[in-house]
Amino acid sequence: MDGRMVKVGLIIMIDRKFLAVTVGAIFVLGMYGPNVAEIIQSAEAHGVQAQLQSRFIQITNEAISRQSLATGETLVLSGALVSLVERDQRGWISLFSESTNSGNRWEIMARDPPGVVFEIGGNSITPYAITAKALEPGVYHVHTQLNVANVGPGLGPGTTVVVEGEAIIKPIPWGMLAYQSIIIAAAYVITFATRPWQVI
Amino acid sequence: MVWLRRCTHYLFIVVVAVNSTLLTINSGDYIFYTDWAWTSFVVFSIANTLMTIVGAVYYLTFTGVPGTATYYGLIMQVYTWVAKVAWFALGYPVDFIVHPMWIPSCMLLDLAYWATKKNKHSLIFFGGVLVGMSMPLFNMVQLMLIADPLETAFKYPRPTLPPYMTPIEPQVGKFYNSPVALGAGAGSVLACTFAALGCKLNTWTYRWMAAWSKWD
Repeated sequence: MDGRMVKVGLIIMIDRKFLAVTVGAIFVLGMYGPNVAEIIQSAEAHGVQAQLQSRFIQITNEAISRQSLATGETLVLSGALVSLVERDQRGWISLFSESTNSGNRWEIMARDPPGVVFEIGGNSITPYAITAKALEPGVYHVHTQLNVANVGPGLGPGTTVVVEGEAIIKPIPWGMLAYQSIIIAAAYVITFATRPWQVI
Repeated sequence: MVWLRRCTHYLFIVVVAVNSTLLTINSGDYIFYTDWAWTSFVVFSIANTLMTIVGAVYYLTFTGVPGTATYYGLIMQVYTWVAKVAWFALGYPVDFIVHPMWIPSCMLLDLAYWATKKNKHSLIFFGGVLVGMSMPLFNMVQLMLIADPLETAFKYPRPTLPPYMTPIEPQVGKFYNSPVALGAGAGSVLACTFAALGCKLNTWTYRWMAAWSKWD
């Protein structure tokens, strides 16, 4: 038998190089095929209505003060939380909106009820308001997000909001970067002074 | 199998690589997400201290060169600096991530080894205490140089944070109301045990290599 040929089964003989290339190609295709297919197709669901109302506490009468604003301006998202259970609950209110990246799109300036975590009385109606400053331009579907302790999240119906203008970037912590850089530089000095990679 | 004895130093390099990445950097999710930094400070500090010291001591006792632990910390620090770029590419702000600060504690480990004339017992005790107490301290300094972590969590709602997870205050009332105090105290005790483990791993490695290389 030729050294380069591989016996597969009882009869078929395949060139070893050909076999190696084939197996390798199958591996690569299996690994990257789905990624390539993903590039070709795209599925977007912007503006899909969220249907995630909590069954414990409903978000009703959701209203927004404005639907078009520039970065740096604020909007107020308000409404009422209707508790459908007898037990008192604890929760915190936030703002939920999709975006193309993970950047800071909103800065929450004020909350009503004040503070972060607050009590929601059983079988009661609690009005809420959240003031948020827009930081990034884009088209958002903005929802109230109520997170209830030991229960989970709930979203309001949401409103489309358009934000225009230059993005506002959070201040860069130069002090922290300087602290790290100085220490890393000192470590380089010690490392090259002692050359520890030379094994004794 | 004498090739085992000849390749011992490669094994050390592999262990250093694995311990620094899979164990140390990944302990406690490897990079401080600052909105959770205050809540998770104690567990991050202890986990990082233990994993750092075992790898650093293993490497330090292998080379015998004071400066090796600093080198070990430097590798991790530079690696995570590069990895942080991925977060910026996704749009996260600069102070959303702060790296744990390993280098100064590793420098103290080198200092302990050098000052005690490469005495392993002293390395375990003095080095362990120094690393355990200093790592939370140096990380505390980092958090002081950025915007308040807990406030950041609520002012800038993170889109990928599970909404029912609310960062809470660390439960450290008994410990001078400070996660740094608890992290330093617990770390200083526990770090000695892992420093000892690092030394033992070094000894065992040499013994195994000597034994296995005689199998043929």
